[in-house]
Amino acid sequence: MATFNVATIDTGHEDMIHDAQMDFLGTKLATCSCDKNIRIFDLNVQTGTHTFVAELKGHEGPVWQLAWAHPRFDTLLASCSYDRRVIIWKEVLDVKHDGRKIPKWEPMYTYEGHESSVNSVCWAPPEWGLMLAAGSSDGTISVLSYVNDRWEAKKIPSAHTLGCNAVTWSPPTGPSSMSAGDPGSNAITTVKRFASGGCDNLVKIWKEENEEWTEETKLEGHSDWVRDVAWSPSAGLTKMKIASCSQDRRVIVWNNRESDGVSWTPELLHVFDDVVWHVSWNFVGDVLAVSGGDNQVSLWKKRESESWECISDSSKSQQQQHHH
Amino acid sequence: MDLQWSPKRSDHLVIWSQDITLYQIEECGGDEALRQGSIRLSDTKAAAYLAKITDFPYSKVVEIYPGDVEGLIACGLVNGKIALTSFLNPANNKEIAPKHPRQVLSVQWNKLQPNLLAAGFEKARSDHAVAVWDVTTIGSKQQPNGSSNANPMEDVHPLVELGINETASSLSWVLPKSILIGMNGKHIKLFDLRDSQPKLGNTTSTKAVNGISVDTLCHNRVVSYAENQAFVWDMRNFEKPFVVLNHSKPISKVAWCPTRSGLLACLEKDSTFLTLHDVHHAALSEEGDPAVLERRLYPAYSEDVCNPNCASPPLCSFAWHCSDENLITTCTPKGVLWNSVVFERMTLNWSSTSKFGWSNGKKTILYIDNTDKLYTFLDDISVKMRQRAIDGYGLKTTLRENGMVVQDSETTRNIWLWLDYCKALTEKEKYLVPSVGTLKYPGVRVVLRIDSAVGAPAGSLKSEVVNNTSFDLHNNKTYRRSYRSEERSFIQQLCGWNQGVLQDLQGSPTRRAAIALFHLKMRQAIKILNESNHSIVAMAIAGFNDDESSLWRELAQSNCNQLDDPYIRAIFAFLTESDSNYETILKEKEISLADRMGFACSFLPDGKLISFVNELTHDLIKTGNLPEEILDAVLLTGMTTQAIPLLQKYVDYTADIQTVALLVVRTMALEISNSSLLKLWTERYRELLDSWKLWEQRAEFDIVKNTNNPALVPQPEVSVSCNFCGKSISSTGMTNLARSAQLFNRFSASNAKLKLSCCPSCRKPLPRCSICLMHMGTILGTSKELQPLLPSSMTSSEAVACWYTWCQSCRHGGHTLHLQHWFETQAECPVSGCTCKCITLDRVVDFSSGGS
Repeated sequence: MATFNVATIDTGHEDMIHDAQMDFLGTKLATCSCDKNIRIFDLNVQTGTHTFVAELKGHEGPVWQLAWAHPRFDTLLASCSYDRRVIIWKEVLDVKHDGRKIPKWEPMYTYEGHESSVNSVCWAPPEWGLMLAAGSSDGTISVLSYVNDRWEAKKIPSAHTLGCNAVTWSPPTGPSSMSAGDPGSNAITTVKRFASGGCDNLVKIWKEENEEWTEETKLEGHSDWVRDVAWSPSAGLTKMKIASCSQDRRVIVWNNRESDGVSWTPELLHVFDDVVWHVSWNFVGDVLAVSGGDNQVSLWKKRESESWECISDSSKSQQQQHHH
Repeated sequence: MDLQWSPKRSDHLVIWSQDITLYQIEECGGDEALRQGSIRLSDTKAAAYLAKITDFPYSKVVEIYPGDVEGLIACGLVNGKIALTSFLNPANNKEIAPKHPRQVLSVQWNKLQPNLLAAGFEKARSDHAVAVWDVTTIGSKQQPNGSSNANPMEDVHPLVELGINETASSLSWVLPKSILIGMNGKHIKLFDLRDSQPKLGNTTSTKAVNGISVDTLCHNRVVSYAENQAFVWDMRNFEKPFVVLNHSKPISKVAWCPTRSGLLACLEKDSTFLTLHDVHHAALSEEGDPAVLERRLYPAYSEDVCNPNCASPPLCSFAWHCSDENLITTCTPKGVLWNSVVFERMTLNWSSTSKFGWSNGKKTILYIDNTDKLYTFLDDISVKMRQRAIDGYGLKTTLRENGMVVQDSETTRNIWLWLDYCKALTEKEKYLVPSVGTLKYPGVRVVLRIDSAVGAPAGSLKSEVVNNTSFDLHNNKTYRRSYRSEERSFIQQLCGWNQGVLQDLQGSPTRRAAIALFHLKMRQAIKILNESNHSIVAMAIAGFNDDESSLWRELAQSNCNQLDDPYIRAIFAFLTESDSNYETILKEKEISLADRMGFACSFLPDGKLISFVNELTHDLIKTGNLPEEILDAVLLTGMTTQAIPLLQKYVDYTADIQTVALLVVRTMALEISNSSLLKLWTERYRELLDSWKLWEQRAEFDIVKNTNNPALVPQPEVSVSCNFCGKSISSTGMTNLARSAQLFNRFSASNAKLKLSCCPSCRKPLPRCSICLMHMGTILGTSKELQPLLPSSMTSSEAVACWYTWCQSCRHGGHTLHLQHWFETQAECPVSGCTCKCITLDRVVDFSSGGS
């Protein structure tokens, strides 16, 4: 059991934290809470310290999830809330009289196209432009994209009956079927895809076709609300995986062995003792972190035996935390 | 049995059944023995006995005083009396008696005005259901000398009395001056007590009159229950409950969590678990059925408290801790207590920079980064890649040096070493093998002209047949046929089978012996085996007999498969010629690919050699799985486009995008623009370096990439154009001018770099420096007027000083050195009339420190 060298951040939120996201460089942390606010911190990895930078007020309900855009699009943060809105915040520099520059956060765009709580936001790979998916309790998913200096929204009307809880984008991996050294293939011709999970117990995969988003695959395996979905990031790998977790206490890893994005085989990772809230892949996509209703973080890695094993859980470090 | 956590002392717990007992919480590890009278609460905590009150057996209801007097409690008794007593001084107690004796159903202190105590009673003829007292008035009558002990009975008149001839099943204070009462099994009524005359506020008709409780974190939210249903009310809209929570068994207790808004715990009669309802978001919902998240909480008793093989005992009550986040304590009729924590939805994220964060409790975020031990434990390639990048992996001058950076991975190191060798060999020998052409890293297939799509053109390879007298032995009659050509010998060298290989054999003794034998040096092979501990094998080989029907051959053939060592098996297979195609050797996966390839080049005829290479490549691309197999196969493809599928397999297996990206820019950069995969790999790696903030490494990577493929140099993003004609004054203009300058070079006195002071297309002058008023392009220092401005220590030849720069905002500018000096003392633009504070607009460049 490895010991964690854990850095602790007291966020100063007045109520339950719902999400915490690091930016591309790992120097900024954004947190959001039931207290309707978003807080930004600067992180110093060397010293393990952090500085509070800003509080973003604008939502009128609990803020569920955050997402940082790729830095090539400037410093943008998307947030979604119970107040049915998606806000895209932009960091701008406020020049003071003495020449100091104070970072200031302003809502750059507010999307109000949902009729109920917006539960999840996720930016598409930067290769596909500035594009964001948002899933709502009204059962719809919006895909917002920044084209010709303005935001455009495309809506998937009834994506999940009773509501959508999570969205996650496919990585922009090149197709493996492409023959080696094919001289004509200059562009990466991948299909743009994302996955979503909802209250209809389904995971669905959507693809862009003729500028519209259509349901490509429906993954059936859970018997209760799907709480989170996570597409494994691509470090240049062609094999894709999606992890999903549910109120049915199960975590399922969906494997796309053919790398075609179409045929997915489920693999039960584990049945937990309580609801499973979140799943997240490491950079390489070979370790899955899982957080459950028992307040434990566990890490799962596939061993040579081809079965998923729990290689670490936080119960020990948690107890240590309590002692302090 | 029932219990309550003290609202003031977070380590005090009161439990009552027959007696009323006060406990103090103390640390007690799971393996530590409990003290006498202590009760275990969790693996780390126990409740230690402090004090006991025995005067009021079987108190119906007990409530700890929420004010500043420690140890004071109020007890409602079966006979209708309410006792105020203290653990610190149990003898000194007060009793309040109603006019008609009947059971006390509830007592509750007002938490905001702790002097107020409310009690609810059973129905009595011409008496009230609820009374509120100001306990300070009782206190005032208490004699300081303690004489009141003699007569604890006092007729204290209540401040307020409510509900004549009614029953108050339950009651709850709302803020300081209102009270909610569940009456007669029919109504919930809100009374405003601010005036001396209580005012009836909102009421609702409901059978759910039990256990009324206000959420202390949201004062409009109230719960009550009856039988199998709990109702959650919004007091502003008392018409109907906004949530009805159905249970399968009758409910015995409900309570809001005091540390988390909207979290309700419900206990059913005789059940072994608590049901938790999260109505927080239901409260905010405006239409439709509010979604209530429901969970069950089973106390996770430790083994010594409750045998895990037995069924868990049913619970009789529970209590939330007043300050510890989401801590709830349950108890059973037999007095088994247990602490549980109700956990919240916990967020968790693994960032692209390998930082891993999660929430801990309500307001804290914990995170680790890839310098943490956990990452070493995970054997995460990204940690390795980052360290290698810092060590300059891939950026070292020679390929060999790069291999040295990855000493810890033999496979990865070997590919660099082989490529280094391949490059040197190719430079030396390429003239002998025309098929190599200009390639620097050819593989076997290139040498044999095997194209991935077409295959080898017929007759491309014309090898000389050599009939060798076998094995440098004198007495052999037969000969071994082998083949020779420049291509074959080049391939053998790629495989490490150089001319001098026999003088410097590497590897295990059996491998060395086998290679010697494959070069037909049997004596050397026998010698090697003899010198190692394989003399038995040496002896067996020495008995070699090429008579086809010999007993030696028969035995060697039949026993060959039982040998463990692949090279010894190969030795016997070779000597006995068990199959004319040498398949047993060539398909022996335990023999390295290079050795098999070297062998094939010696002993396979042209056609068979080509089909062997084809089969092998196909097999490796299809089934090769281990990184070493995959990288070995680069021997066949070389660093050509044919290697791309292999490299992809390697990435899929190892996720080591770094090695692949570096190999690509070092050895096949020219293909990057033709292959989306190569582009993807290099882009991914650049992105990785960016996210690690290894800017220098990222820049050097780009330099290597663009040096090896100048076509990848990005177009300049900024160009300087003429104010008058709008044409660029850089690149094209400059080259034209440079050409004409070359033409007239002989007329030019000096070879000094040509400078422009006017637009090359329209001949209009370029902008002037706002300090010295010379045109852009004028070389600094040639003009006498400039001299006073230049510090003596600085020579006019300092490169940057004469560069032209300008403000992005007001577009005024001039020579860098001049501006630098100007802004050392000034904040505003040097152009008169312009108030732009140019210098403060740029966050990155700090002129004042740069100029000093």
